[in-house]
Amino acid sequence: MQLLLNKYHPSVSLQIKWIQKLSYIMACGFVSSVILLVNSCTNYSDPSIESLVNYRFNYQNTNQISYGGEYLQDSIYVQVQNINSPLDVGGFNVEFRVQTGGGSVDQQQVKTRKDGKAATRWKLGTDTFTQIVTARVTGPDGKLLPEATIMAHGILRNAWNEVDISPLSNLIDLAADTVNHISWMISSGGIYKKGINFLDWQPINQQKIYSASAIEIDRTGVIYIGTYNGELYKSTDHGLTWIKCTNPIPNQSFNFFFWITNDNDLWATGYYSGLWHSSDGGKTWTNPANGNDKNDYIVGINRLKDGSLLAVSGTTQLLMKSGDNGKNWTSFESPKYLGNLYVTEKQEIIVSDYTTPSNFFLSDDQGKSFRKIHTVLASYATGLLEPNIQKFGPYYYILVSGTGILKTQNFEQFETILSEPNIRGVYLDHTGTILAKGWRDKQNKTFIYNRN
Amino acid sequence: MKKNLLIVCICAILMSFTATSFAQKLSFGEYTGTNFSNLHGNLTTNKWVSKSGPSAGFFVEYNLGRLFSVQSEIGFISQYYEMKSYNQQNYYPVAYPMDYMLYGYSNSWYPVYEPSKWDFSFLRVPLLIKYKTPTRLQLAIGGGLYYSILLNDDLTNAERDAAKKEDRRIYPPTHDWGYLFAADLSYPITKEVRFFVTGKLATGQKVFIENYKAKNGASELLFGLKYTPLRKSTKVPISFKSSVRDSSFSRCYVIPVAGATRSWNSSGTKPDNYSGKFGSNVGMIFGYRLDKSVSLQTGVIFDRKGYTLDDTSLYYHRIATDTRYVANNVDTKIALDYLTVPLNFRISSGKALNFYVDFGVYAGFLMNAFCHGTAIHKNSDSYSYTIQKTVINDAIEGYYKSVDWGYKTGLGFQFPFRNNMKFDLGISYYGSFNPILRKPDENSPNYMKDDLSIKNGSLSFQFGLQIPIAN
Repeated sequence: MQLLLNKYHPSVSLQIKWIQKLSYIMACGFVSSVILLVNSCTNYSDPSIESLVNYRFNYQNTNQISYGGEYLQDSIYVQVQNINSPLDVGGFNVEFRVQTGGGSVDQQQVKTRKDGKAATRWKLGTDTFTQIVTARVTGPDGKLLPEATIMAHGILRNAWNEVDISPLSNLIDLAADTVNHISWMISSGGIYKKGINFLDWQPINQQKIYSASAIEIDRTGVIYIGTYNGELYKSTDHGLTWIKCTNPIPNQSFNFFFWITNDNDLWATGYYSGLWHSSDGGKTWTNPANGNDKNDYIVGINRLKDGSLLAVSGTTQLLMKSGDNGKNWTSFESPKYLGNLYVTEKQEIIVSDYTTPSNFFLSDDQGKSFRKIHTVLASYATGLLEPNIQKFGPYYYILVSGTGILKTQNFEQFETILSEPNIRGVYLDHTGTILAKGWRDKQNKTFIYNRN
Repeated sequence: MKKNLLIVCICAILMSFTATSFAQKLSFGEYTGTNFSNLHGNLTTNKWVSKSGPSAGFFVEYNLGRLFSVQSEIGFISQYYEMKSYNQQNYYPVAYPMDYMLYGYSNSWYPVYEPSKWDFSFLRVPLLIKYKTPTRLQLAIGGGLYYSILLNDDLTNAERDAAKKEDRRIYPPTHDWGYLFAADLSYPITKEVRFFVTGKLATGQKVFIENYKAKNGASELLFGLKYTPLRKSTKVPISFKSSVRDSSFSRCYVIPVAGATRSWNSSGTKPDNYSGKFGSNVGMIFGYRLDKSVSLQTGVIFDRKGYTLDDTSLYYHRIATDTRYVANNVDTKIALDYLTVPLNFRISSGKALNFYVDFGVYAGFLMNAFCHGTAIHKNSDSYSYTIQKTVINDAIEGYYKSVDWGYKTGLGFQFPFRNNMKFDLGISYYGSFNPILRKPDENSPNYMKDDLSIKNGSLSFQFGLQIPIAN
């Protein structure tokens, strides 16, 4: 380098002196490069997954059922499991706090024992059927761990219970045999028979009946069950054995609706499938209108004392009458947009429209004239095939979609006994327990009034 | 396969015969060494171990003047691949579809997975064109194509025939072809014999491991002897010096370079989520002087780029979030190895001390992509509270485009060293034109499409030595 300096002009030599210094920097840079190059070849660890913390939480004795205001039979408890260090499960703090239902727990703050368990007794409240306690776990180091909800059900006496436990939560249809004191329920395709209390429904194993959709009982106690694949079954021995009937609507392998008139005749219909009739307990079926009403369907059918049939047309929403056992039907002057039909023992015809507000009309002259008997403000209006009027004892229970359930004895004074717009279909079991099927926001819930 | 082997042997014999008739233009020799496997393909997770295997062979080189040559060889190479997977199933979309994770999630521990191994041995015949410096310590660099035949074929002829009849691909194939790059440094130990050390880079083009669409690849370090029969009049360059008297007027020059690289994600979409990392670069620049101050340069640079991710993400190599899933606390370094080929103009001024500026474009060919680091995954629900630490060591080139096009600009200075050579110290900026991540399918979940904006940005500090090679 020195020789180079001598070769050049002094100004250039000065530059080259600087370059000498720079060359040291460059040498450092070069060494750094080598280090980085070596660094880039670093042998990294093999891929692996290591569990640093692994706690599991079990919640025991959840979903117990008791009466509102009473203790649950068993204490509820949280059990902490430490997968990485199984013995280190003591000293966790569990804070139990009642969230809904209005009940209380005996101890709010509980330390886990050596076995990782922390328990407390829970006295249910009387505010709601479904009641919730949260269990908040804190580690020994004060670190907040998960919070879980523990649920229980408190049956409310003489009050409505919003039941969300199966099978009642999935109520589809219900029929009561008040003579033999038996009630039957269809829920999620299964068949259930009522037990001792109003939450007690026992499944009936009937392997040949798939996907039950509707149930009716005639006046002799014969039970009929329709299915979602278009079949009909009946039992003449209170559900012990079941006989397959002829399919009500030929060539229809999907759901249908059926009613039993007071002469034990069966009537079936489906959307745009016409009206089908059986007078021999489902052995044979005829289409009495001979196909003329193929595009019609009905909403409810009743036989009056004079032998004529009364129904609401599904297409015109008007009342229609047949004097020749369903062969010919004539519409007559009646309120419009009818959604339901009920005939009392006194042969009073009760109809309701599905407008907002919803109106109820009564005819005591075989349908020649109607008078409005009640008007209810409803948050929405819809036509439903589920029953909306039921009678138990001297009282009629009337469901109004968008409003709730009314109670009347004479169709003059009405009392609102349930204000719940999101229900469809009102049912009564043989004990007079009222059940209303939830929908929309209350899907998979059933409102049940406990009379005890 | 036997037919192919026969053809190769005949070619080799013919080449060795012709060798005698092209003395002084022809060199031949042998080499032996080690290769380090480097699989390429749609790799997105798991560690692929770079395993060493033997390489050996005989070569023939035909000299096209003093600077260029054509080389072929018959080589034996065994490539060993090994994949090390995580010892527990991931909870993340890195390895498994999210839907599977949603519905197939289990808290139970999974068994430790055995690593997967593949061994392939080849008979390889390449054809390379090489440039070499006319110096005693000779540097040669070149590239070309190769054809190779699989020797350890475990499949029977019946299996291959059945696959052929059904028009079905069967793995591994019986042969491969690909690109081969080589750089030699040789030194004469006698007038006719040179000892050399060679570095080679081979990339196969046929899929050999079906599940990963994986192709062969290896870097090789070889040692050997080259014999060149000489005429009496032939002179061997005797010293390591430039063949050009004055570098100021030399038309062509080479600059071996090495340095450090600071790289980062230059996309401005999520600037706070990524940071830079240090890497290194090494390579060879070729220059051609258009006039006294303007040169056209190209070359080959092995450049380690990448970026650092220190954030919460579903992926380990980029930001991806989805409110349905718990993201990981990720602390990873993403290393992207490129073979960068720049094409740029250099404008220089000054005599003894040259200052210059560079500007041009580059093509970066992705060689490897790795993701290293840790991820902490917390999962908390009513029934469990878990914290997992994942040590990440993934090959992830499946996420990235194979070529990164971009622009380059730089500046630096040169000063004389000796024998018309110059030290070169420069700094260059490389920036991608387009995002470097591959786009997932249109139907992919949204989180898979999250932050595909990543671009390479890098600042290379390079130290080099400019060697003039021709007037």
